[in-house]
Amino acid sequence: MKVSDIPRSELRDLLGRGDLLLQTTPFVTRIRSDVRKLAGEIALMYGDFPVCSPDTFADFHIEVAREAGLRRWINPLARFSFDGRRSFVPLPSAQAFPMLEWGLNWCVAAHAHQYLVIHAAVVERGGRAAILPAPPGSGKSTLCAGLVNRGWRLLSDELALYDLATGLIHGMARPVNLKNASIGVIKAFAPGAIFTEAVPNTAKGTVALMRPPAASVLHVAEPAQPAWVILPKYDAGAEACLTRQEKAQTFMLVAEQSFNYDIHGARGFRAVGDLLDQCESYRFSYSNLVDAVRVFDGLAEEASR
Amino acid sequence: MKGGYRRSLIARALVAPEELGLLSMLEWDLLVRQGRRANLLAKLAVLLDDQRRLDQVPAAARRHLLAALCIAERQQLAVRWEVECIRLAFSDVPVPVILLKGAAYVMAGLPVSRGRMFADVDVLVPKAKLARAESALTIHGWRGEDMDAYDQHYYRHWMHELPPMRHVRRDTSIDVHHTILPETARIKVNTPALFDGARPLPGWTEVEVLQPIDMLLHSAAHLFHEGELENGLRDLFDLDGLLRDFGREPGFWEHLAPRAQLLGLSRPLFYALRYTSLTLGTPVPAAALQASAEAGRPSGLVLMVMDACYARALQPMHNSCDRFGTWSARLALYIRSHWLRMPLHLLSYHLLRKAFKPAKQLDESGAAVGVPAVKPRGPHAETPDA
Amino acid sequence: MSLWAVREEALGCLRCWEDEASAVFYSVRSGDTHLVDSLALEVHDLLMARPMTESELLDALSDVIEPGRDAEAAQELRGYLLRLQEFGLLRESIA
Repeated sequence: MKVSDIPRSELRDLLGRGDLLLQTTPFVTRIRSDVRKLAGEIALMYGDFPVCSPDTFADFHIEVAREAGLRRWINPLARFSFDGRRSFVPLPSAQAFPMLEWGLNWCVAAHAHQYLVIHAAVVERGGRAAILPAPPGSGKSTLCAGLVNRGWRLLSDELALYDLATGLIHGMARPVNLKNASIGVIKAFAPGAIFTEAVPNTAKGTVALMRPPAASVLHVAEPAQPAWVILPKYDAGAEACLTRQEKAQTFMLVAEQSFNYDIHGARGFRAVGDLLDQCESYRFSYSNLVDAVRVFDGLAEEASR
Repeated sequence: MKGGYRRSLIARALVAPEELGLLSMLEWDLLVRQGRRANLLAKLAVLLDDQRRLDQVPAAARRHLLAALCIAERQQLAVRWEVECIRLAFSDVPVPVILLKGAAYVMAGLPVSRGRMFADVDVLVPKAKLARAESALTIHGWRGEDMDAYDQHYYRHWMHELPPMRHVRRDTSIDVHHTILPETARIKVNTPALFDGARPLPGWTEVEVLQPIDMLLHSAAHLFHEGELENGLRDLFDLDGLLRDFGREPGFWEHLAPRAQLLGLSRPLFYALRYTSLTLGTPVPAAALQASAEAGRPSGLVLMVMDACYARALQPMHNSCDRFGTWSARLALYIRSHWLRMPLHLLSYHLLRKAFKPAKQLDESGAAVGVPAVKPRGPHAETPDA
Repeated sequence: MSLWAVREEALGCLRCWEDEASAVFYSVRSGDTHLVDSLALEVHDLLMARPMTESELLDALSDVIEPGRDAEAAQELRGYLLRLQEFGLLRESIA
C-alpha cells in the first residue's frame, strides 16, 4: 500500500496516533504529528512511498508536535522530537514539513553508521552514480533537481549512503530541498514538477520541496556504482566547465563532508580511499542548467562506451 | 522495595539476554528506543557479541546495536588520545592527576568500559594545585567555556570543580575537580584518603587512577548525589559491573563498609548495594549488605521515599518507562541533589535562575550527549511526554 | 645521531594517487586525517626503504633543495620531520 492509496482523513488519523510507518528505504520511519496540514504535505511529497503495517520495526521514531500554551493562537509553534527526545528549539508550525525533512536527515546522519553518510547529492545514469559533495550554497540541490528532471535517477539531494562493505551508494529518493531563487529556476526548467508551498523565513531563507520523480522512488532499493565525484559550484555567467581535481584533495573534501567519517576511524579512511580509487574526480562550475545537463550527459555517454 | 522496580526492556536485556529470543518486533523497536536514550545500546551489543547471540537479533534491530557499538569504539579511541594529551599537558607540572569515572575505566582496562559511552574526561587534582592545573591546561590549548560571573562562581566556589574547559582544536571537554563532592555539601568527604589510595596507570607516572574500592565508592557517590539522572541507569550498570569485577578480589567485600566509613560515603554505599542488588540482581554478599546498612541506612521514612524515587528515576528517560510519579520523582531527586550540594537559602535562588536561563544550543550530537551541568533542566525547561 | 623511520602502526595509512602532489594520512592513535604534500611522500618512500639519519635524508633530497641553502634546509627538514612525528607517521630514535 502506498501513501497515495490512503484517504486524507485516515492519513491524518494515522499521523495523530503516531501509526504512520513510512518506508523510507533503506529505513522505516514512524511519524507522529498533530499539525493539521502536515498530512496534506506528506501525501503530496511522499505519495509514491509504501506504508508499512503498524507492527513493523521502525528505525526512527519522529514527531512534529504543536507547542502548548497561549502562543498557540498568536504564533503557533511546532517542535521536532526523535525517540521521544525533544529538540530545544521550536519553529513556526508553518515550517512543519521542512522541519520533518531536516529532522529525518539528522536522524540518518547521526545514527546510520552501517553507512558512511556523506553530505552530498547523488544521481545515477546508465548504472553509474555521480556524487556531488558540497558545502551549503554550492548549488548542488539545484543541479540535482535539474538533472533528475532530465532523465537522471534521484538517489538523494542531501545524503549519500556509502556502504563500506559493498562500495555501492544507496539513496532514499526523498523530496528535494530547494531555496530562494532556485525554486523559480527549477519551476521554469521543469514545469511538470510538483512543489510544496514556499515557506519563507526559515533558517535557510525561503524553502520549498520538490516531489521526487516516481521512477526514482520505484527504483529506490537499487544501489548504484559510484563513478564520479564532482564538486559543483554555481558561478553566474560562467561557462559549464569540468576540470580534473586531485583525488587527495577530493578525499579531504569528502571526509569533511561526511557526517560520520570520524566515527568510522581507520575503516572510514580506507572506504573513502576505495571510493576515490573507483571514481573520476572533478570540479564543475556552471551558470545554467541546460549546459550542466549536457556536460553530465556527456560524461555518462563516454563512460558507457 | 515498596512499589517495586519495573525493569525496562533494556535493563531486562542486559540482565537476562537469554530471554531476548522471545521478543516481538515491536518490543525490539521499544528496546532500541530505550537503549538509545539510556546510552546502553552499545553495552548490549558487546554483551550479545561476547555470548555469540548477536546473530539471533533480528537484522533491523541488530544494525542499530552495531551502529551504537561503532560510536562507543570510536569514543574509546578518543578517550585514550585525550588522556595522552592530558598527560602531555601535565608532564612538566608536579601535579598528581587522578582520572575519574569513564576515562579511568578505559585506561585501567576494566570490563565495564566496553560498550560504554562517554562525553568528557573528569580528573581530580589536589585543591592547592588547582591553579597550576588550570594554567597547564591553558598552555596546552584548553579554554574555559563561556559563562557568566554567577556560573563561574557557582563552579569554583560552591561546586567542586573548575568550570569545564574545552580544547580549542579537538573540541573535547575536561572537568577538573578537587574533591568528589562539593565543599558545601552536607557530607564531608575524606579527600586526602582518596589521594593516598590512588595508584599510577601501568607504565605512566603523571596520570593515576583511584584504587578499585575507591573507584566503586566514587561511582556510588556520584550517582546518588547527582540531580540529572539522564545517565542514571548507565551509571547503575557501571556500579553493577565494578562490583562484579572487583568482587572477585579477596577481601574486597570485607573492606567495603569500613573504607566507606573512612571516606564519609556510608550512605551512598548503602544505596549502591541496595539498588544494584534489588534492581539488577547484582550478587552482593549478605554480610556486605548488612555492614553497609549498619553504617549507612537512613530512617525508615526516608528510605521509603528514596526507594520510591529511585525506582522510578533509575530508568531510561523514555516515556515507556515513565509511570505516575516519575516526573515528580525526578524533580524530587533533582531538588534533593541540590539540597545536598548547597545550603538551603541558596538553593531556591539557584533553581529559579536555572529555570529561566535560555537554552544554549540545539542538542545535535544524538547518541552520546554530554550533559553540561548548567544546561537548564527540571520541570520548567522540559516536560517528559505524558 | 638519531635515526628516522616510519612507525609500524602507520603502515597502510598513507594513501596517494598517481601523478598527484598530495597524499592523505590517517593517524591510528589520534584518529585524525591529514593532507600531506609531496615532500612527506618522498620522505615516507625513502624511509620505507630503510631508516635514515637527517643528513642522509638531506643528501637523498638534494635535488629539491635550492643551491646554497643547505643550512636552512637542514633546519626546515628537522622541523618538518618533527611535525610528521607529531602526526604519527614517523618515529625518531637514538641509534
